[in-house]
Amino acid sequence: MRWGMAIELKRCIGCYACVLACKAEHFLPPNIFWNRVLIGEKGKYPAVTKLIYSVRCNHCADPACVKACPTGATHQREDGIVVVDEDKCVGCRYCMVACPYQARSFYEDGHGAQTEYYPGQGLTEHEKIGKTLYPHEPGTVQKCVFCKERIDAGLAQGLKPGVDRDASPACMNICPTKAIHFGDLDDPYSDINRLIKEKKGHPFHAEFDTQPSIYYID
Amino acid sequence: MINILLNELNVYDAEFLKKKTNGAYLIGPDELYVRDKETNKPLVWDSKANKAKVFNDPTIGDYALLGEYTVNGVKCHPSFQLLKDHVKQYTAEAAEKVSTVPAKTIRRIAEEYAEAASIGTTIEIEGEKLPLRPVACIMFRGGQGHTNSAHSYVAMCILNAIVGAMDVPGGTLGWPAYVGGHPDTGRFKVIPFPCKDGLLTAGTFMEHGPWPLHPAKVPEDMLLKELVPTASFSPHPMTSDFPKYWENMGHPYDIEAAIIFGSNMIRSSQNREIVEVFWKKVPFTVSFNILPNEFAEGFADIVLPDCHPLEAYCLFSSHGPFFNHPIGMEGWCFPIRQPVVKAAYERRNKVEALWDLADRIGMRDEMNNYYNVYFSSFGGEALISGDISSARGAAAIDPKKVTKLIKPGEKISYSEMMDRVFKFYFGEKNDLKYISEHGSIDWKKQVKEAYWRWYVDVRIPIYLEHLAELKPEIMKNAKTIGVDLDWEQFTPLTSFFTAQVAKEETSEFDLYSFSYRDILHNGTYTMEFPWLDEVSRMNPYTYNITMNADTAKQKGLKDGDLICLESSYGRKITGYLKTMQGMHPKCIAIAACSGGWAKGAPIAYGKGTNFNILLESDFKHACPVCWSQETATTVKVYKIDHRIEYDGVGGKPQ
Repeated sequence: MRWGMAIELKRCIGCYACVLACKAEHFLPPNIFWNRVLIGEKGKYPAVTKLIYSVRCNHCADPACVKACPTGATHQREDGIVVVDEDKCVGCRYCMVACPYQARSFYEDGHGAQTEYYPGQGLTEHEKIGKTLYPHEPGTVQKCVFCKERIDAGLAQGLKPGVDRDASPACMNICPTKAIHFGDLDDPYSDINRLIKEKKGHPFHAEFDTQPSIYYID
Repeated sequence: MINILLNELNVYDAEFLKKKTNGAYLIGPDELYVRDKETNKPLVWDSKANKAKVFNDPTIGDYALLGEYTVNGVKCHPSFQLLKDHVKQYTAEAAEKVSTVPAKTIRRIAEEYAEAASIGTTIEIEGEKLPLRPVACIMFRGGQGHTNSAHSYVAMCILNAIVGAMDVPGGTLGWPAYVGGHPDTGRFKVIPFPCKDGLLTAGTFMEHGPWPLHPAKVPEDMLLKELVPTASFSPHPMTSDFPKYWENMGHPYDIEAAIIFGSNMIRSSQNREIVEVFWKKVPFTVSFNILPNEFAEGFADIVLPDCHPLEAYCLFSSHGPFFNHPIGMEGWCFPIRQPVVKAAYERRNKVEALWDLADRIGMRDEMNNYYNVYFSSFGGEALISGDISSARGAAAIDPKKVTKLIKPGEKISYSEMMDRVFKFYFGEKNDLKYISEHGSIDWKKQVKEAYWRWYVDVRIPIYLEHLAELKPEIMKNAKTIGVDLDWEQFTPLTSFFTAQVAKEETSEFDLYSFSYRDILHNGTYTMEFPWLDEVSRMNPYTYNITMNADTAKQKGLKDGDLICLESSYGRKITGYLKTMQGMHPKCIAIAACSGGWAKGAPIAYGKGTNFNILLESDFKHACPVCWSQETATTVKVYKIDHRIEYDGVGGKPQ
């Protein structure tokens, strides 16, 4: 089993809902993003194409970050999801340098970093809840985890990631145009494999040669 | 495109035009309908019987859409014939000169549109055979925001009408206009119906009903709307020319007190100095608001803290079926907004606060009656035309038609009112408790609701006879208060009029500046939401001023420059430049309603640029027919050293 994602670029409208759903799902602190939307354009007026890429950790099959981590904090699960063990992370940030996709963030609490969304007004109710439900360890590196908590809990209930909402990543669920697909890349009959094959999905910057688990469909 | 379809491709849906529009109505030399002397109904020409008949005569063999006839002693033509002839002047080549869209491209799109419309084809849905017209032409604020708004919009509607792509599968569906009612009760019902001259009247409408038209009058209140009955929303009295007309009207009254609900008109409407002139004369202003925004800080004597949307129930956010209910065959779904946290501090649901105020000024009975009339309007008969009809207007409704959900003088909570409304609309079991647990009341949509056009005997005008009818009276009334409008636009045949902004282009003020809806924001409040602020900063366009990269280069500008946009009226705004190729070389654009300056909204403070400051607001910059404001302006652009629009408003923008 290897979880993966396929993103249809023609469907993506650059609404940032995936970014915001991730923020809400993981109670991410100010200025921390586990996914982003890259916007640009190519061509010259009047023949111009707008480019929109929803990007996050690619959960590569050959992850450079895992090789770079000196403590074993960054490791890969059997299902292909690359995660960071906060207890083992020493904050050296070698992984951030090694990741060719710049998909990682360093979380600081204090030391001049913004700690409240409304500076000087205390934490909102949502921020307070997050401190309990999804605490983040200061001084560690963070990244997308493919909503592993949702996947694990969903599988335990007999649900199918990529099909059942309660077992699927928050960014996929929220996408208003259904541009994001999720499923098992090791299953040759999975919907995501069919989609990648039929629509010629390709990794973002395949030349980095890390075998990403996220495919983009033009 | 209309010209290409009608006169080059000869493509149109004759059946739709004959039975669903006024295309067959005969027009006399006075631009008005030729009417039956006995019934006063518009006449059409029955080409089978070879004689004129009233439009809804059941014996009509076939309607003539083309030709010239003599009826009642005058020469007349079906309005479709007049339209077809009239649009011949609008060639693709002429359109290219105005729009810069190549004539070849206009023809290609028109040909594709005509082919895709598949006129004559049908589809069967749940046993119902319906026309299939898979094309749609939609216009929103961009096209409407000019002084030629009404005619531009009508042209777009006609483009749908001539191929029959209105409220049929594949065609434009607009807002759900036909709700047959919940199966248990038959209530929450909204159905369009035929009115004067067989033309459509909406089952409900957000403003005063557009049809039948109200008579044109000399205005008596500050909105001046009675002057032009085709106008919907009025920019007055916050316009630079309003004081002149008000004095011409004899200065009938002054506003002594005003209550504003949640809006931020100093930032979200026209130039703030024009708005200020009006509001600083109002002696006492109350603002219900969730934060101290620019309006509240600038003008409110009292700010009453309203609940945030996540702190309170709201029935009305999804009440109107015309706005955000499902379209097509997606089933009916009536949702409500529910609180997820307790209201902080002393925030209150504003309706409950209003009830308290009503008690103090002896208006509780009127307010209760207003709600009864409002909800009864969805009980089977449209009693009032919209959400903002007044309590006084509601009092004039026949009490026999009103269901008394709230008794006179009765004091209930907002949630109790919602509970009663749900039971009234959807039956006893579908109460507030049920909808709170299930999120929405759902029921199946019928084919005739989703694709209602051929199920209701209503027509829409492709010929705006009412403009010709109204014109003399409006002109006479306007003269009495010194108003001058572009009278040429009061013509029944949809026409191109140069927008005011285009008239103001000069070699100095050479760029067209406009604002556009950013995908992340709505109104001004979302700018204070820090998550949206974070992603707005991530987005290359949201907080920046965008212009064509080559145009910028010609003007010696580059990404990141702090620039000033100056209008020909001397108004100036500043912001940071982001160049792009995907923009017309003559345009410069600003996203959303940004550029906040309220100290009580620190997240939004100084982010982006408030485009509205550039806008002029007067009759010259409004569509004379519908009163849409001109929302673009010509500017010159140059580098500047600081954000001058923040001079004098305190603080330091980012």
